[in-house]
Amino acid sequence: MIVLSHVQKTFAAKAALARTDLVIEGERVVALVGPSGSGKSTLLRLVLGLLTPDQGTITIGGERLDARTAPELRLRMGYVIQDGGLFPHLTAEENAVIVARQTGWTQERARERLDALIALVGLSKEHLDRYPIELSGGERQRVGLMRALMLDPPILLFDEPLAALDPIIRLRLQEDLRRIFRELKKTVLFVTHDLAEAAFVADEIALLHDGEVVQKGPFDELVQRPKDAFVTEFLRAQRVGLPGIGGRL
Amino acid sequence: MKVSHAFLMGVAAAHIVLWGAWGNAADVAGDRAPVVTVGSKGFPESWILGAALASLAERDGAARAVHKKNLGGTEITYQALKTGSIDIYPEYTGTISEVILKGRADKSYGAMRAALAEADIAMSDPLGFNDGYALAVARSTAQRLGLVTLSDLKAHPELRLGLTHEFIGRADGYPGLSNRYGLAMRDVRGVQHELAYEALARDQIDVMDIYTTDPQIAKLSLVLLRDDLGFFPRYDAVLLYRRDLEARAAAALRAMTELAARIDENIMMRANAAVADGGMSAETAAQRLLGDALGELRPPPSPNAGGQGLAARTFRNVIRHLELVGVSLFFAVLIGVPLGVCATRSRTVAVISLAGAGLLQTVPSLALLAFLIPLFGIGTAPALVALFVYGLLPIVQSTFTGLTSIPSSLSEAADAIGLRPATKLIRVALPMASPAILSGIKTSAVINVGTATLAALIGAEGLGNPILQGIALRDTGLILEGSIPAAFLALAVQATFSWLDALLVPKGLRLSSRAP
Repeated sequence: MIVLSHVQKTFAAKAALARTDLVIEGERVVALVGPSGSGKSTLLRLVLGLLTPDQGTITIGGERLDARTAPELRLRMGYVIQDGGLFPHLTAEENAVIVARQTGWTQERARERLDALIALVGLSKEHLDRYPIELSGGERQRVGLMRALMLDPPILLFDEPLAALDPIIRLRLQEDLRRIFRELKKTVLFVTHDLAEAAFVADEIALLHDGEVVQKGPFDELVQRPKDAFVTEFLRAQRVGLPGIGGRL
Repeated sequence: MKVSHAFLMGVAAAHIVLWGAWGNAADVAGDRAPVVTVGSKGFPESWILGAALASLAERDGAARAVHKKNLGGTEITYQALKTGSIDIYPEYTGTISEVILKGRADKSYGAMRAALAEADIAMSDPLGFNDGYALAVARSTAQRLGLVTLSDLKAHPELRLGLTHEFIGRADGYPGLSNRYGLAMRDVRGVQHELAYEALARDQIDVMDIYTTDPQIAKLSLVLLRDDLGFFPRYDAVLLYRRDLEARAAAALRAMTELAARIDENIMMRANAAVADGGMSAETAAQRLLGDALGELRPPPSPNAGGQGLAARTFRNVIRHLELVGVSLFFAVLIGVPLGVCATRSRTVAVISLAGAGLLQTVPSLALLAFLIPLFGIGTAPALVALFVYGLLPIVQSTFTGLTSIPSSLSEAADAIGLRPATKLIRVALPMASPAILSGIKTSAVINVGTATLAALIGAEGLGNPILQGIALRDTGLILEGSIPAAFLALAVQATFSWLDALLVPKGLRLSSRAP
C-alpha cells in the first residue's frame, strides 16, 4: 500500500504537485493519467524517494519514506521506465540481476530466478546474452520488467513504459502486463498519458490536472460520473466516451 | 578480467618505481669513495669543462664522479647546486654577478665570494679564459663601413641585429648596451644563437652577439667590435661548488681546482671547435683540453664515451623515456580519475580541481621545472612530478565529462532501482564513461611522450638528451636519434590505446557507438 498524505512539491515557485492525498491500496493497479506537465512524473519520483516533498508524508507498506529509509524501500519497489532504462554496457542478464547481485544473491540463485521470469515476461533464453542495442524496443521493455520483478517486490512502478513502442508491439505488451498484474497480485502505480491503455491495464484511474488529483476511481465511474468539466474534456480528447468508441475498451 | 588487467598495470608501474630505487641504492652503496656530482649547462663548452672536472675528480680514485650533462640554463643549474643535486659546475663571473646575485654584490671577486658563501657556495679562482659577450660583424661589413668599436654602430642604425633572446632580455645585454652607447638600432630581432651564425653568413643579419670562445668566430672570420666604453662585464670562467665538498671530497676538489689559470681562450676555443664542428664527444675533447691545460698526455678514452653503440644508447633512452611517461601517467590516473569523480559530486571540488589543473597546465614547462628543483632537486623526481602535473588535466576533465554526460534518465534509473552509490559508480557510471576516460588518458600519454623530452633539461635523460645535444651542436643526426624513437613511441602509445579500447570499453558500448 502506498499512502500520500498532504504531499506538496514546488519547483521554483511553480507548484508541480499541489497538496495531494492519494491512497493506492494493496494488490490494486492504479493508473496515473494526465496531460504532460500535470505532475505524474513528479508524483512517481516522490514515491521513489528521488524527490523530497516540501510538505506531507509518504508511507510505503506502512513505513515512512525519508532519506534514511529510501534505499531500503526502493528494493521493495520494482521500477520500469520508458525503453526499459537498461544500461547499454551490460547484457540483458547483467541488467536484470544487477540489483540482486548487489544485495548478495549468488549467481546460481539469480540464474534460477531469471529462469522463472523469462517465460513470464515473454522472453526466451537466447535474449539473455544480448546487449540492449541488440534487442528490439519491446524486448528491452520486457528485460526492464524482468529487472523490476527480480527481487519479487510487492510494489511495481511504471513510468510511461510503452510510450516509445509501435502500436502492435504495444498492444501485446499491454496484454502481457495485464496478465502479469493479475497473476502476481502486485500493488501497481502505472503512469501513462494514454487513457485507453490505463483503462485496459488498471483497476482504477487517478486523473491529474495541474498538480492535483481531479478524480480517482474505476474507468466507468470517470466516464459516467465525471467530477468536473476537465474530466469530460480529457475523456473527449482521447476519444473515449464518444458515441461508438468509448466505453467498450 | 578487467580487474586483473588494471592490477597488472599497477604492479608493473610499482615494479618500475621500486626497481629504479633499488638501482640507485646499489649504486651508492657499491663504492666507498665519495661521489662527486658534476653539472654542466646546455652548451658544448660547459659539457667539455664538466667532463674534464669529472675526469679530474676520479683521478687516483679520489672520488666517483657523475656528470649531469646539459642542464637547462643558469637558474636550473644553480638551483641544482644549491639543493645539492650537483656538487660543482663551471660558471662565468658575469653570470654570477648579474643572474645569480642579481647585482647584490659588486663585481670584485671578494664581494662575490662573500655573497655566495651565504648559500654555502664557494667560487674557485678563474680558469684563465674570458667567455664574454661581444658583438660581431662580418669582415666585409666591418671594412665597408669602417666598424672597429661598438661606438661606431651609432652611425649605422640601419644595420640588422640578430641577438639571442637571453641577450635581449638581460640587463647586462642589449638594453644596457644600447643605453650606454646611445644606440637606436631599427631592426633588432631574437635569433637562436647557432642559427644567428648561419644568418650572418647568409647576409640576413649584420650584427650578432657572440661568446668570445665560440669556434665559429675564427671559422667565419668575424670581426669583434671593441667595447670602447667598457660596458660588458668580464665572463671569466670559474668553478662554483658546494662548500661541503671541502670536507667530503677534499682530494677530488683539489684535483678539480688545479684547472685554475690553466685554460686560455685558445685552448678553450680549440676544444669547442672539436665538439661543435669536428663531431668529437665532449669527453674526448675534455681529455684533449686537460692535456693542453695541464701539459700531460693522457690516454684518450674510446671515441664513444661509455662505450655504447647507437642501438644500446637508443634502447636505454627509450626505456628511460617510457619509465618517465609510464610512472607519471600511472600516478596521474591514480589521482586524476578519483578527482574527476569527486568533481561530479561537488561544485566546489569541480571548480577547484578543473581550474587548478588547467592553471598548472599553462605553466611553461621550463618554469615548472625551475619551480620544482628547490623541492625535488634535479633528475628523475622533478621530471616525474612535472609530467604528472601536465598529465592530470586531461584525465580529470575527461573523467568529469564522461561521467556528467551519462544520460540523466539512466543515472536516475540507477538510483531508482536501488543501486547503492558505490555500485552505481563501479558497475554503471565508470564503465559508461570509460571511452571518455580512456581518451583522456591517451591524450595525457601523448602529451607526456612529447613533454618528457624536456626532462633532459634537468638531467632526467631519456630521448630529450640526444635532441637537446643535437640542437646545441646543430647535429641533425643526434636530433633524429632522439626524435625518431620519440615519434615511434607516440605511435606506439596510440596503438596501445586502441588495443586498450577494445579490451576495456564494454562491448555493449562499442556496439552502441557503431549503431546508426
